[in-house]
Amino acid sequence: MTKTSVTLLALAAALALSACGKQDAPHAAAEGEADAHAASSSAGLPAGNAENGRKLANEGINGGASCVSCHGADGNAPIIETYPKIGGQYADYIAHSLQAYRGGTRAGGNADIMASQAKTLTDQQIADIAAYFGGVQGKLRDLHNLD
Amino acid sequence: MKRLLPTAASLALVLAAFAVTAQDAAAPATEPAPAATDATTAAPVADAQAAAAPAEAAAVIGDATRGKGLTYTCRGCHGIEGYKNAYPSYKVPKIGGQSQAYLNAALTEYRNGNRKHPTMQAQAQSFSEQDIADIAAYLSSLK
Repeated sequence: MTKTSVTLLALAAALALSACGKQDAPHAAAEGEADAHAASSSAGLPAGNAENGRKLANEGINGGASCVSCHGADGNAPIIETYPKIGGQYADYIAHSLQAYRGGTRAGGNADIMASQAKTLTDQQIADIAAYFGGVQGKLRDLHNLD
Repeated sequence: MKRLLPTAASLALVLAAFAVTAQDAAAPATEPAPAATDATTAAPVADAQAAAAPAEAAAVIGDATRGKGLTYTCRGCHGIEGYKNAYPSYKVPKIGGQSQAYLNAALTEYRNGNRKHPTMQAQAQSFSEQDIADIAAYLSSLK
């Protein structure tokens, strides 16, 4: 790739991003972290109801399997090593993942299993499930404060 | 709002540069070890290996001590509490304490290109199977 085309690519990307910025900026910069989290996720979902999410996660969804039947109680004890822990994971990351599974944009690994689970979910159900798992005490952590 | 535009522009430049670097880095590697996408046309054996990658990667024994050294780069994004990706704007997931086999599969899928994320694909393509096993061993050991 030549330097000129790299520059052009970068400029195009910059323009595209600035255009997106006009739409995304209001809610991205709107409230504090906690408010933004609860009110409307950046994924464009409605506000999540954690209590409703707890029911969905434990009782099964739209006639399908429950989340905890594979991810364990509170999402902290997956029944198979290749299944992730989801308890305490960031709610908007969980919501993003479920949207990607539902939309077929996440492939590989166990994606087929999750795609079949997620395809019947409504936006509200995704928001609720994400709010629930995002709020429970989990075993996951960021990589801050490591020696 | 006005401040966001220059930030977005610089981010785009960084991302573009990143993409170019990743391409350059990937190019020499295609000769000794064909990338997963090339493997489909190049050799049926390599294709089969790519398909079985998650299970196969799990067979490599991870060295958590070596993995620790490899994860310093990860901290740039995964080491800041509540850090958000530029776009789409969701938080970078917590990966410390995650299931070892899941981490192994996730990195392998990014490397194969089955799972999409520009930064993660670029990172994963720089890792060997052993690197991935070591990283998964270290990250899953964190409490």
